[in-house]
Amino acid sequence: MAKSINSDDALSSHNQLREVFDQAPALIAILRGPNHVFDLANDAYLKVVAGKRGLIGRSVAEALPEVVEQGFIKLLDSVYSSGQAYVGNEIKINLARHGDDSTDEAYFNFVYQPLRDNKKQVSGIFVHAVEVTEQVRNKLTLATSEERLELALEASQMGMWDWNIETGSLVWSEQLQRVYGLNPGVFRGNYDHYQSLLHPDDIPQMRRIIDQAVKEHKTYQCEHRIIWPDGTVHWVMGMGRAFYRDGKAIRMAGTTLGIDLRKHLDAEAAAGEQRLLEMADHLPNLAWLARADGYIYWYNHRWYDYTGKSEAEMEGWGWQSVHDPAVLPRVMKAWQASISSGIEFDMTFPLKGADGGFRQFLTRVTPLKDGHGQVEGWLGTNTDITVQKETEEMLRERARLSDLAGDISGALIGSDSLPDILQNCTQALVDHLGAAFARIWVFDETENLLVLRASAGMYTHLDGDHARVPMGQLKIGAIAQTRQPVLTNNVIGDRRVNHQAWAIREQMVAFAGYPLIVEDQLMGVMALFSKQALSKETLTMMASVANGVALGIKRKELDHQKDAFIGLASHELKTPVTSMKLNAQMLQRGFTRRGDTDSAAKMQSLDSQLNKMTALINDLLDITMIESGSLSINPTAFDYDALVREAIEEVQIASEEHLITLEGGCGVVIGDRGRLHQVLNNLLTNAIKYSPGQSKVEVHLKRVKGMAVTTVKDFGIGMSPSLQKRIFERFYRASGGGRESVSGLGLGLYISSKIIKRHRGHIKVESRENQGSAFSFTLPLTDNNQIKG
Amino acid sequence: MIIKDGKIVGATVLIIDDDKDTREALAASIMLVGINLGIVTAHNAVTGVQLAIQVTPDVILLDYNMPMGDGFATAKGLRAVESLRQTKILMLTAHDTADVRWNSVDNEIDAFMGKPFDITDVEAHIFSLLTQIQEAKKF
Repeated sequence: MAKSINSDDALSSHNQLREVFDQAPALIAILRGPNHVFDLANDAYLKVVAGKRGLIGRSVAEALPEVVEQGFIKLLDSVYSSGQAYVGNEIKINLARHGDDSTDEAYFNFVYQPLRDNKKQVSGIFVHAVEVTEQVRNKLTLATSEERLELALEASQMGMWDWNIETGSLVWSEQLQRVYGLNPGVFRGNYDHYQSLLHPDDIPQMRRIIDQAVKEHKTYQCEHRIIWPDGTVHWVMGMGRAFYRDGKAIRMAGTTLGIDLRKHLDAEAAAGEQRLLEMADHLPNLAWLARADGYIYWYNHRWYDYTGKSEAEMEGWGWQSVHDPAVLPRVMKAWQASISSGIEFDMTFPLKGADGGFRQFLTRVTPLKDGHGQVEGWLGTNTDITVQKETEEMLRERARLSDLAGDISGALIGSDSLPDILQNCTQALVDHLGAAFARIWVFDETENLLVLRASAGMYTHLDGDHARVPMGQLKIGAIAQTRQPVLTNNVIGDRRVNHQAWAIREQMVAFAGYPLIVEDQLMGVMALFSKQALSKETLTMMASVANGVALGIKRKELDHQKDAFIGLASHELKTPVTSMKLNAQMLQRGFTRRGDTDSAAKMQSLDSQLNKMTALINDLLDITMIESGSLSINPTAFDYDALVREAIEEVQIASEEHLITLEGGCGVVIGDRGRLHQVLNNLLTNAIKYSPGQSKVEVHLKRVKGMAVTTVKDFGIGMSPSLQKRIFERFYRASGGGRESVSGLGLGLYISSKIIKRHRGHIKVESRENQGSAFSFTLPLTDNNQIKG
Repeated sequence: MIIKDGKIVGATVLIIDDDKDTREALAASIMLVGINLGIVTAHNAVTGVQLAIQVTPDVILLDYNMPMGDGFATAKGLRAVESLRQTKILMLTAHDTADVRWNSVDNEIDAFMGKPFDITDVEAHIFSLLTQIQEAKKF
């Protein structure tokens, strides 16, 4: 454009230049002189700025009068005078392009570049501008809507942020600053500061999430931790999206919410559930957790250990496979009812274990409710009560066996006859063991066979096929011979049990047969049949019972032997005495008839000695009976007063010196008449014996508190206190005080006291030396039934 | 048999006792009770029953405690014989306890005499039993 250029060259390059000038999209214009006269303007400039107006040759002020007051003339002037270029960004200008007063608002990025002449003096200004009206407008709109949004968000207390990626400026709402724990104004408004507030561990994941969303043009959402200035860690949830220009993200905006509380609650819930699971795992029970709809999502270890199943098999409703199909419908019904009602339930049912066997479980299902009382899940526990049930059953059985033991003992120590004792035992076996029938045979040594003596239960007859079983025959005889018990819980099919047809028909399940042995001697056999199996405990108890019964039989046998011995001894001792006495008495009569008084007297004395001997023999026999426990009392109710009169009469006849008086009465008394006669006789003869020279013996009878009280009183030599204490002892032989002349074994009072004791009565003595003694004893009247034989 | 002047005439007495001395002493004692008394003795139950059937005694003295068969069984056996239903049986017991008496359930025994007995006991019992027979015959 300088004049020094060759004119042709100048013209062609001028034309080329002109073409570029004209075609450029940018607005280009050249201004000359201090008045900024438009020398040149390209088409774009003319179109955008001038509109319909002509510019060339006119000054800016003249051509575009509306810009004068907008400060542009001033701007041009300063560029012209300073020689400094001016760059303007997004400068607003109102242009009146339509030829009237209306103006259009437009935004330009432009440059005012000073042009210099040869002398380097500014001679004009080169104008280059790009219109950015659209972008600026968009921005404004956004800014306004952002402001509105910010206001709304402020109201809702969400933090809002806006990040201009191109400029790097990051705008945070006040609320967001608070979310980050920053005082107002602290936030520096750039990405770096923001980054520094993030928890370093969370940054990589955030990056990933955000990058992904940006790439896919989607909104992202990310929970992450931040660190406040005071160092505390907090949780926030950020949401945002990007804004794009030409496919490139130029801006991002979003919201961030503080979620500490929710995170805390979640953590609590998770920890809570974790604790629950840990606890459930440690329980000795089987345990499981279900959703509100009944779907079981967790079982504890014990469940898997017990069932031997896998998680996959059990999950949800898989537990049905370990239930007893017969019971399952009932279980399902109850479970479904609970699920719908939200109410817990208990039930006992069997569950199949890994070994295929079923055990009983007490199950409790409890609802887990949230803060509002809504069921959000179920906790179930199953407790193995098989052992408990077995224990209960065992305790019940022990109680039964204990009762059995009691009854058997009671039967065995009683003084009933042997058949009664054995019958009571068999009855006890039937009652307490539920035996179908029980029997006891006693072994008869002389005939070498077993005699059925007791049978209780289904069969009670004692005369039948099994009434007399020879040793070695049938099962009973075999048991007796081998002396081995036979026990079986499988009667049907056991070859040792005969009568299989009968066993099948009667549904017998168990048989137990025991030999009854004491000190290697076979006493008999005890056996029973049962329709239920006999447990080990029962069989052990029965072995004891067998021993007891064996002893009982032996005892009775011994008793029998003792009785037999005593009877024999008695007979053997008294028989000679009998003939001696008769002969002595006959001789005495003979001598008397013939007048031989000396000889008669000798015979008399012989007779009286024989009487003494008889008395001694009787005492000895009594003692033997007492010592061996064979002293039997056969109580009846009888007229006691009559007995007393009888006894008195007997003794009275033989005593001339004393008068025995009777006063009072007792009525009917329960006792052994013969034995009581013996006692009365003893006391009366003692009274006379120990009061020589006296003339009186008194007998008093009275009733006191349901007892008959008898007192025999003498006025003779009496007894010292020490003697009184020992007078009823067995071997105590009173000495001194004139007693030497009284003969006898001294057993009379001992025997009398034993007899009274057997009557459940009481005997005592009150005495004063040289004044006499009063013996008294009590007997029950008919009202009491306490005496046993 | 009659009773005359306090004495028994013409009665028959059977003594069953396994002890010789007892039999003899008893026989001698009974002799004192009356005159023309037929006294028969047996040393065991079997012989005793046979003799009883043969002589049909008025009174039988029976020892309770004998080796082969106790007194009660023997008494039952005697009573089983038609002709002996009315015979008086006096049982001799060494061991006179209520046990022994209880066993006599069916009253086969008319009286008991406990050993050792006085001669007077013997006289009294025999006399009383024979009197009963005498009285019974009157009806």
